[in-house]
Amino acid sequence: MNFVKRWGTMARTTRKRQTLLGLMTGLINGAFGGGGGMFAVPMLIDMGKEQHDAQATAMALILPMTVATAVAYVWRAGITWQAIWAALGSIPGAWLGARWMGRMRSVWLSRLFAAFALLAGIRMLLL
Amino acid sequence: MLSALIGFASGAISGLGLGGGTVLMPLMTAFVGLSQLEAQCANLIAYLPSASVALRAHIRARRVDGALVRKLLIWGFLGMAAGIAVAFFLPNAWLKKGFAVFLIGVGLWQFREGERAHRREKRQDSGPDGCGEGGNARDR
Repeated sequence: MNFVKRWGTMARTTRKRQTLLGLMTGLINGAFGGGGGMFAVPMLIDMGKEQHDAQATAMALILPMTVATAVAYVWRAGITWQAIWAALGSIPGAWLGARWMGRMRSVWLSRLFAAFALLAGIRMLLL
Repeated sequence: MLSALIGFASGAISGLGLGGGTVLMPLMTAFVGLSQLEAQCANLIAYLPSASVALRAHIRARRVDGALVRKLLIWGFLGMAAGIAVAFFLPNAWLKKGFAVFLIGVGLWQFREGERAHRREKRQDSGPDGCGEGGNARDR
């Protein structure tokens, strides 16, 4: 009956991981107004999902939370014109980005992104 | 106008699957003069239009695991409530520092993963069957 026990442990850890995944994604997204996907996508891949399925599933998880969080934030901080402009600008941007996706899987893009995140983080920490 | 450009750039980056908020929020606080909380609010709003369109396409392509999402959402909303409370009751300066630490973590992680994927692709390109297009295979 050893395998039953093992199956039980596996199911428990899966549930534990699902709880952690849900909680952390929500916590990050709520506290920082985004970034939940940076946690959810690798976690879902680790749980056995393929890259694109992981991104799609993370998006389905994050979008409803983003709607609720945005309502709370607007109620608290108000809506700025800059936010509306950024939203308008992001529509063609996202369209182009999605079209480039197949062609631009270059390691330099990943390095540039990593360097930007690091530098911006360090700058915000010091200033 | 600058905000629209920043929105465009962050939209393109999230379209590429890299996380647009990482770019939008620091630029908004540094060059547009929004407070950290306002920048976060702007990021949330900027996510909505493109994500709604993208999600519909994902659902149509049957890439979304609906049963899993329903299970995760219960915990997600709990975490979200806690996160919002943290954001609202923490002073802006602290929130900014917390976000900065998160950004550094993201940068380090992306660097590690990017290099790992790069090595994997190189290995596949020089493989015996010469097919280099299977970049999604897991190496664990």
